[in-house]
Amino acid sequence: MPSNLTDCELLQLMLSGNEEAFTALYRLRHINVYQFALHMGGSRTLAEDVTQEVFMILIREGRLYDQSRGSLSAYLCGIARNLLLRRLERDKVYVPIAEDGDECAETFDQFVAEGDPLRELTHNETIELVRQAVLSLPARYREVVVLCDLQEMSYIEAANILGCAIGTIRSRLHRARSLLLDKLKAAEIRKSGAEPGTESGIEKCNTKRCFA
Amino acid sequence: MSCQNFELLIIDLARNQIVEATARQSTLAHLDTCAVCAQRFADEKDLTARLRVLAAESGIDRPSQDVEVSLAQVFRLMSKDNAVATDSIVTRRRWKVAAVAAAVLAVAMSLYAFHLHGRPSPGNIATKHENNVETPKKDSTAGAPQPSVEQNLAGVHESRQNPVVKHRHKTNAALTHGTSSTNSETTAEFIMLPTAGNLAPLESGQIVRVEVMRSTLIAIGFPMDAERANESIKADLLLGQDGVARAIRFLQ
Repeated sequence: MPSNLTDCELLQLMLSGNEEAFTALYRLRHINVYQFALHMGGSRTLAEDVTQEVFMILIREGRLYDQSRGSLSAYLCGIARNLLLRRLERDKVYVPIAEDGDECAETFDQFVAEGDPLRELTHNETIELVRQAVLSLPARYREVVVLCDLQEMSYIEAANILGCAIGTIRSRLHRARSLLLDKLKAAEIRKSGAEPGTESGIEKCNTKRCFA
Repeated sequence: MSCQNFELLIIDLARNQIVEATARQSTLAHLDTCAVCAQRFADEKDLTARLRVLAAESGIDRPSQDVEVSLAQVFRLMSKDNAVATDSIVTRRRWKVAAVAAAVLAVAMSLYAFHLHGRPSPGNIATKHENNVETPKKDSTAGAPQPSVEQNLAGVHESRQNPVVKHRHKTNAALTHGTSSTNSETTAEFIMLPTAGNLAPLESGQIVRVEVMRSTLIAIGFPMDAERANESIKADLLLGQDGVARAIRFLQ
């Protein structure tokens, strides 16, 4: 399969039954979809499910894609977004069990220190803190942060995916970042308040590391 | 620049987006004069840095290979189904086209036959009788030697053994075998087609004027000039009661 084919050309080949074209298209575009789903849902399993479902839809209904309305990547992320919102809405009533699940093991894996343990732990904690803060945002703000800040898309691309005006994206991003800052500050205060008697962040980290 | 205007640009600046040069300068100048905005800008930059760390960290995460494998399997299955569905549609369409073509051909042939037999003229009255080659029914000729088409088509056996077309120039008045729609045409004798041997005996028949490609005649065993294979030749086909061609004669 020539590497200079555009998404549309690959899609046309794919729709005519060319499996190589499908594989090439998947390899080109699945990361965006997966990352979006991962940041939005916070679960690898969910992200894989959504990625699979998005490409299943592309196989079934790829003919519906209209090039004039945006890029294929935006189209796929749009599908992923709709699926995710539906899944998140459906799963809202369930409470995750964190003791024995795979997700828990994944989380522990992230805290395995390599090299400088203290630095590694701090790094992991920071990432986890930001991840949790992003996940706790309302969906309409979260998706803007994910698209614009985590996936570094332009306002136009994000507007295409979310189906709204660029001004809306800007204002939502503004609001989302304010919320994120508040949440991160609150989390830091909570962390320092939960361990009275400690004076510095390093001491807190050391304590955490001992338990880890 | 006021703090309110600064708020409009702070996100773009903190995210290192492209900002107009003058606006950028005035915003950065505002930071020197307003400590609150400077703190706010530092927070935003810190947030951007943290988000980028998160993006970089999770950027290495990939879905498992199983997803690709299962999708490829689904794609293969669905492509196969689509191909089957498309084939059946095409086959159905082909049948429709074939049915329409057959109907049109039948109508054309019947019109042509009507044209041949339905308009008697002084010149071809004899021909009209000849066109309806009838052989007596078996019942009515029990015990008697059964007359066959060969009796009407002299030389057919000869031609079958040696399928060289023997042209016999005749005038219309002298025609005993064969027909001619125009006075200038000359006809040859009927030659049994190689495929006619296995068919049911001829009880009644009809002669139809056709144009046949020489290549077709070569294909069924007639000795023709290969250099003129692309040309067509006029001929009369003798069709049996079942509509299958039994013999052919060539016109000049």
